[in-house]
Amino acid sequence: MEKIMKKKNSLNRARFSPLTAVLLGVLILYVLIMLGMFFWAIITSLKSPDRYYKDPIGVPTAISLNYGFVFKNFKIMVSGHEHKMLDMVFNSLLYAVGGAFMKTLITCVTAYLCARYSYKFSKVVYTVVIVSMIVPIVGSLPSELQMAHSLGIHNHIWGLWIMKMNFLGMYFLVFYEFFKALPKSYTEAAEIDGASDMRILLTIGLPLVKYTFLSVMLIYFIEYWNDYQVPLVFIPDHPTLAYGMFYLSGSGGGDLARTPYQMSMAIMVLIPILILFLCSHKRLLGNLNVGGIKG
Amino acid sequence: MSEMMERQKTKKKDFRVKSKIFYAALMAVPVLQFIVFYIGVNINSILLAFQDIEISSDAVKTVTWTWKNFTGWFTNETSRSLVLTATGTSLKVYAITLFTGVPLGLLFSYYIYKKMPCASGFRVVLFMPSIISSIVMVLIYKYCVNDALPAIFKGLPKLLDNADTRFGVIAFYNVYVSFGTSVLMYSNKMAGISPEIIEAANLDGATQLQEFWHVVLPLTFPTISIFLITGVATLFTNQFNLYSFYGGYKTVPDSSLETLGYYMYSRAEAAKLDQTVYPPLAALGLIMTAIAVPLTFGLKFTLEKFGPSED
Repeated sequence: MEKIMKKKNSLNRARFSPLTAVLLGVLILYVLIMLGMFFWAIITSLKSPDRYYKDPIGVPTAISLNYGFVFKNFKIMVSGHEHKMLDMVFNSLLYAVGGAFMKTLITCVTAYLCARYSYKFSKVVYTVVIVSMIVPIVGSLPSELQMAHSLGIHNHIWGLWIMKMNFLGMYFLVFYEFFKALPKSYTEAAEIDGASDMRILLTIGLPLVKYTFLSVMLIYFIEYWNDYQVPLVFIPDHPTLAYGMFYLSGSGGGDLARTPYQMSMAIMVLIPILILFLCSHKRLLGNLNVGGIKG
Repeated sequence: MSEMMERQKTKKKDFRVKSKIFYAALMAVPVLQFIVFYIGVNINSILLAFQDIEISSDAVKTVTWTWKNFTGWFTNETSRSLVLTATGTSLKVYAITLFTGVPLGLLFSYYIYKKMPCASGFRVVLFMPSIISSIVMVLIYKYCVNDALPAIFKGLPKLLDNADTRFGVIAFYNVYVSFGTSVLMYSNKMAGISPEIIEAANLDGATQLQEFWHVVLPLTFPTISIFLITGVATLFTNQFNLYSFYGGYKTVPDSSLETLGYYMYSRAEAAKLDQTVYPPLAALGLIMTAIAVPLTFGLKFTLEKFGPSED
């Protein structure tokens, strides 16, 4: 096994060729653009507006305390209520953690049931997932809004959790393939010992999938944390941090409309998610693999 | 002996019944959610497309059934021209993604798969735009392009304010941030290629380009085809990040930048729950779905019939 891995690594670690040299050049350019943008944003966030308008690219001679000013003024008025930065962080956490947990749990459990129980209905559910991935239904936002409104879940964060609780999407296949590949012997022993289905799920199924579960949940968490378009239409009175950022970066910027404040705002919103990513990138970029679509 | 077997049989039967109850209980929630928020939403979308909703001053809702939500998109000059322009822009954006984003993504994945210098670092950096909020990324990019670049390259106009460069600058951004998930999936798939196959290609004297084209690409094709097939819908849903660049309805400086995805979202958001606005948008959604479905299946069929085989 070790030999095969070594062989695989040595074959993968290929010689340098004109193709890889060009690719290296393009990738270095990619990184330089990104680093350049972030470096510029950081130095701009430390400049006073007057200094910035005189010299938009120079290094600041004196550090301006924009972050404190931005933290104090990061507030928006929605439906007559003022929302401060901490309120928005709280709403973001509720939406992102709750939504990501619900979505991942439902996807994982549904995939478990489909993979481990060979009923006809499992095949129906699997087919529904594949078909929904292939059949593009677009432009259903007006209907979703009307539906959410008539069900009384519009403008409630828990309403969005319910809307997110579906099993559709690529990660169903990730979980499905994981559980399908699990040898039957893992659960058979527990079955013989008289363990109930729930016990098997809780003590064998979920613990075995925990790392994939966390990776998928993390991906959804980041997606919902960054999302401002869904909160804008479905929870308009509960602004999240990204929603607030969208509001303040546009015409509602007020005191924060000037570029150094805008950059300070961007860096403040960026830092927590960047730290989270750098701490978890190995897990996030790990082994999420999906094969072809059959059917 | 037979009594024991009988007892075991009954025990097994009980277990199966319990399994069925457990299965049904756990399936109930996702199935119910699917019935309401997928089937229900789509049926409602179809019904909505044929409705003319009027709300009187005393909030009484009157619904009449009509075709005009569909015909309006073809007969009303303003609507027709806006949607045609948005369709053209969406096609342009789709082509740019398909012909630059996808090949570059595959080449970057190959570089990472071959473990060339700094491959794992590049993998992290390529994924970064996917974890950063588009509103943050766009904000930094927007000011960088409009303020910093003209300060560095004297004589350069503010690229986002300039009508000639605006589209290119936004298109560049969209390609730039598009590699995250695709590179992750492609490189994971490539990592699973058997070393014997690569070794055989090398023994046959294949260059790296040949190895990429004749070996790696066909073996990665199932994953590529998923992205291509599911990507057809983006023709109708891709907002080109315009909402992050310019904000909502009537804030885009040039309507030729609007894509179908942006058109739909910005109008639905601007409606602020005014139900009278929904029916024409639902009709447009149905028209787009009616085009997207055969396109998707056509592509799926073509890729299966003419695409490279893993064997």
